[in-house]
Amino acid sequence: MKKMILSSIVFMIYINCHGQTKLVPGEINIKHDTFVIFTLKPVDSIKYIGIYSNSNKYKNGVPYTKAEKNRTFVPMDFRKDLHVNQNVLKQIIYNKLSNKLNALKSNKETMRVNIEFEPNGKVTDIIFTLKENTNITLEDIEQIDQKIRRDINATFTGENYKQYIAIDYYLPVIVF
Amino acid sequence: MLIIKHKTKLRLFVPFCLILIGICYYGCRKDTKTESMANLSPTVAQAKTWYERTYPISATNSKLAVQSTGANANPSVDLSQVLKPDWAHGVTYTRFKAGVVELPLAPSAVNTVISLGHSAAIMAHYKPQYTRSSFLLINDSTGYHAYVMTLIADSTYIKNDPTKLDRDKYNKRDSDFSGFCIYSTPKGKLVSCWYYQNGQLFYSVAANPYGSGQVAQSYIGNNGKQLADLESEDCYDVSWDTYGNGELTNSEYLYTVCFESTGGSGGGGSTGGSGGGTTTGGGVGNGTTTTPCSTASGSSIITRSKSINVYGPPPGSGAPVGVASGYPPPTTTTSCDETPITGPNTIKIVFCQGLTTQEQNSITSTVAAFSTEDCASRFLYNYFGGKTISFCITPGNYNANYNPATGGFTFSTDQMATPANADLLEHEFFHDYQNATYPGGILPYGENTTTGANNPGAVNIEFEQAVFNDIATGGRSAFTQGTPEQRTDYDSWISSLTNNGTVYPQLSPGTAAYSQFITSYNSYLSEYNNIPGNAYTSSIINLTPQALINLFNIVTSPNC
Repeated sequence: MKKMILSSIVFMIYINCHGQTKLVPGEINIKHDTFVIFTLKPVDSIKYIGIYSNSNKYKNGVPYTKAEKNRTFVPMDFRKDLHVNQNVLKQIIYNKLSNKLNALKSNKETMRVNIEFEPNGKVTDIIFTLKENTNITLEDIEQIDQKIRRDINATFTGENYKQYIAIDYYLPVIVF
Repeated sequence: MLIIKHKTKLRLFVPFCLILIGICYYGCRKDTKTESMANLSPTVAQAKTWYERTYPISATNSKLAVQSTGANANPSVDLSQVLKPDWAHGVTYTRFKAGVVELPLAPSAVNTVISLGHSAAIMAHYKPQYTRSSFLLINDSTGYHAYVMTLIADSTYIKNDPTKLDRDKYNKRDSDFSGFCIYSTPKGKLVSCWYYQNGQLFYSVAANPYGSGQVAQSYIGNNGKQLADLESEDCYDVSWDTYGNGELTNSEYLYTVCFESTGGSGGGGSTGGSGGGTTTGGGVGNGTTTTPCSTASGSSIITRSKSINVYGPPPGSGAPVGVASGYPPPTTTTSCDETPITGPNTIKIVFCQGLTTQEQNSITSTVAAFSTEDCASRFLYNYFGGKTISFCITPGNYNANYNPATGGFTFSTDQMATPANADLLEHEFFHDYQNATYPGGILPYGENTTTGANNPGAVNIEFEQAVFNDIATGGRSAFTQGTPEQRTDYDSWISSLTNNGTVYPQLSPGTAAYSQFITSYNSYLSEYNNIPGNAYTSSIINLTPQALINLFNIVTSPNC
């Protein structure tokens, strides 16, 4: 009995602390989704990886609309006309990673998040950029990805946003 | 008996194991929340998370924390250890294009006050109950910054009614406020100081970033001076005081602020460049016009304890442009886009024939809006300052365009010539800057008006403009239509060049950074040229992006 309980404890600790999917380039299936992981060009000798869900809609890039191809097209002023609740977005990330903030800090980690919104405000694509040796797991990314898709919406002002198929948003880099 | 003993062991062992599991579980999933955030708005909760991570309460939590300030290391008060924000009563708003969370002090600070000294004159004029501190958490493009804002009102303003201070917030200044507004960091270092009389700004004092460190000194009874009249070399030792039963029980020196004045009512103003040397000070009167966001007219003085910049007084009446409704931003690097550029560098606008007065006014407003769009647009406006430039509204296959042959700008419709589209002018003025930079101008690299095709080099010119725009504004416009890989690579590159949007790249030929930049730039240029549907695709020519390099070697950061 004693052995059984001790074995269970060891197993639970192992599952809890080490049952994580390694982030290597390629397509990886996890619980609910498949993610694409790719390496970025090194910046200042630091290697980064990009991660996005296979459910992203514009994996080959967002095509130009007819309006955008026209020379009379007036691009959106993203600083003024795209509104995303940055604080809620950051809260989603920090809440999910709250149990490993110290590890992320000591590893000098950063996270970049690029989101595509359709003109109706809904999220279609999310791309995460992380250090190659990140402590963040694919399970973390999946949960953050799902929550962002569920909870985050963009709003727009002006009229120009209606001319786009999807609108790019970059969260200011998170430095843990 | 033996069976009973085993059962007892088992009964003890199972709860023990459950506790152990709990410990292990929480060891792996440690929640860093120290108190409930349930009742806080997301903005305040986010600010709280940042603040508590940046200014953690030390384990020993002694009342005083020793701060080292280099060669002149002194013991000083770490305010973050003794003052706490009252998160439940935070107010959020936007000011100077930055998010602000303004928080009163937590009730635990009720018996503490930041004061100007303890001489009889000071205590009569600036009573402890006339002082109020609050926390400001400012979230601008570079992230959060925290300040302790302290208002020390004088008796002529309070008129025995300390509740008047309730009318004064960072974004709201009572029309007849008299006294000091002092900003310090949560660590207790002076950031800036402003002095008002009857609602008018008289002096600003900012910590000199190149100044000497603080010098330890006793303060009680030292240098406390009557402030009713500003005389030469007025220095005040700002301290953090604790009261018990109405009596001063402890006081700790924070820093010294000094004003040097020629006295009287004539002349003065600030002269000399910022940085070093001595000052001629600023008397009360017709001095140089200075707004709280101006940095150009400061002169530096070295006081006995701290090097500070003194700015001359503003005009005799009225509050500075852009801050009339509140107090100045804590730092002079805070965006002051509300302050329009005027002066000798104003662009002289001439209009094409046939424009209505309304259209002319709209163009003038649009150019003015462009001049304050961001630091790069300010530079471009000044670069062409004094020049006469023509503006037209003529229908055509464009939204706004710059003609390198004439140096003029044309909007296609009245709608384009409105301040809402001022960013179009930033695009076109950069082309003007390119035209001034490249030998022979950029005319050869435009669109072939006969065939409609792009001439060789068109993509060089437009990609340079896109990179310029993305560095200047924090956007990522060049690869909006790129693949996920291109977008993330380009984002990382721009972020690296700008240190996450906090500086602009400084590039000198011959350096490794310059070579690396050119290599990356050319690589992205090639990818940009191949984006399907790109209207600017053309043959690529060998053209170093000198306009972009020159501009950002002059405009060094997004804070101007």
